[in-house]
Amino acid sequence: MDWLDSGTVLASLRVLVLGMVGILATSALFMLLTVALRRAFPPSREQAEPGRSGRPNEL
Amino acid sequence: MLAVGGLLIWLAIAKEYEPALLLPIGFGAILANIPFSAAVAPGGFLEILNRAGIMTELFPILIFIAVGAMCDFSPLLQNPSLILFGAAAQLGVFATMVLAATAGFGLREAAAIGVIGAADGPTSIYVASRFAPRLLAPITVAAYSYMSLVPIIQPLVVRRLTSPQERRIRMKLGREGVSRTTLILFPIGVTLLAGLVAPISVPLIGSLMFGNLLRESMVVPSLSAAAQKELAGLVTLLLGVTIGSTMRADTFLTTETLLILGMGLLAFAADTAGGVLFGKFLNLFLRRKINPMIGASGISAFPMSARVIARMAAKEDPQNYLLMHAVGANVAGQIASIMAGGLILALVR
Repeated sequence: MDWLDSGTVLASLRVLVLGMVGILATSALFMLLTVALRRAFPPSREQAEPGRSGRPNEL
Repeated sequence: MLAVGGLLIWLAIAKEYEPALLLPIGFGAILANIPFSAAVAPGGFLEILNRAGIMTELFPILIFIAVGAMCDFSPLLQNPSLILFGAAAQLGVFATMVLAATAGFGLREAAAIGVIGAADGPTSIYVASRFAPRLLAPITVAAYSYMSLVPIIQPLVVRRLTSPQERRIRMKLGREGVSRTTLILFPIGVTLLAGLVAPISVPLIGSLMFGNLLRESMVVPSLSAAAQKELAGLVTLLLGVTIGSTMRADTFLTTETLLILGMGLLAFAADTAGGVLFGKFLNLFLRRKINPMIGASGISAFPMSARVIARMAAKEDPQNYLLMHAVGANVAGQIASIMAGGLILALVR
């Protein structure tokens, strides 16, 4: 451990910015995937009730 | 260190703080710190387990298969926008990495410390074993300790960042269910997308989603049950006692450990704050407001965080049922914390 290495701090700030942008972008992709899957494969009638996925929730 | 091991065992038994982890960790610490212990000598069983399960990153990967088999993603699939809360709640991971770098840790060690904030033990172990093997024990103890303190830490942060009016906001439940095909294709699609964005995250996200596919396929109930019970129990036991064996006095009883514990707490609080503030930010633009408290559930501590937030909402307004929304954000946090770990592995050299 060395006290305050400006190069390391700058590198960590770069990772912070790229990391947050990356994770938000990836999450947006996951969201689009989910929306596309739901549109392509809508639930059957018996599943289309509030809070039903067709399986018990184990929580 | 014998006393530290005893303290962890006491916390596990008397206080029931993450007993499945803290009890084996505490006993592993005792086994490792008995003078001239053959358990951790070269060829000793704990040394072999450390080489075979931690240094190869095998134990965290096996845990992810078990976690995936336990996860029901349907609350998230009913409300896909909740995925963004998982992402926002990873702010603390990256912010704490900057803080640790400022405190003098090297970039790789700082990154491993930041991951504590994701409240995701296996990801913390996975990143630490690659980037900071000498800090593995304090990082793991911090990650699991704070996970058990979710009911204390999160309400403190959430109350400071939200008004009673915001905590009383009601949210509608999704009207539609989710088809079986969607539930089956989701883990496959997420693995492919995550692999394309950060190939280094494939072992992490792939094992989580493989476990989930076992569950959702409904054609291998015995494999799904084995992943959820036997695999989870066995690997947790071996992981805990092995991590405990890395807690040696010369590497654990240091000021660095105190710093890591302190920064881990900050990371955890910042992740909670990141999720809540993201909810408040979205409310600036939304006509139908969301309850910003669900943002706090965007961490990986599942299902404890969702339960804590649902309980807080019910305390403000007994007719406010936030559990399913909070569960959706919570499972999003499971995916996002792994992605945060994967991105850190990809971005930090």
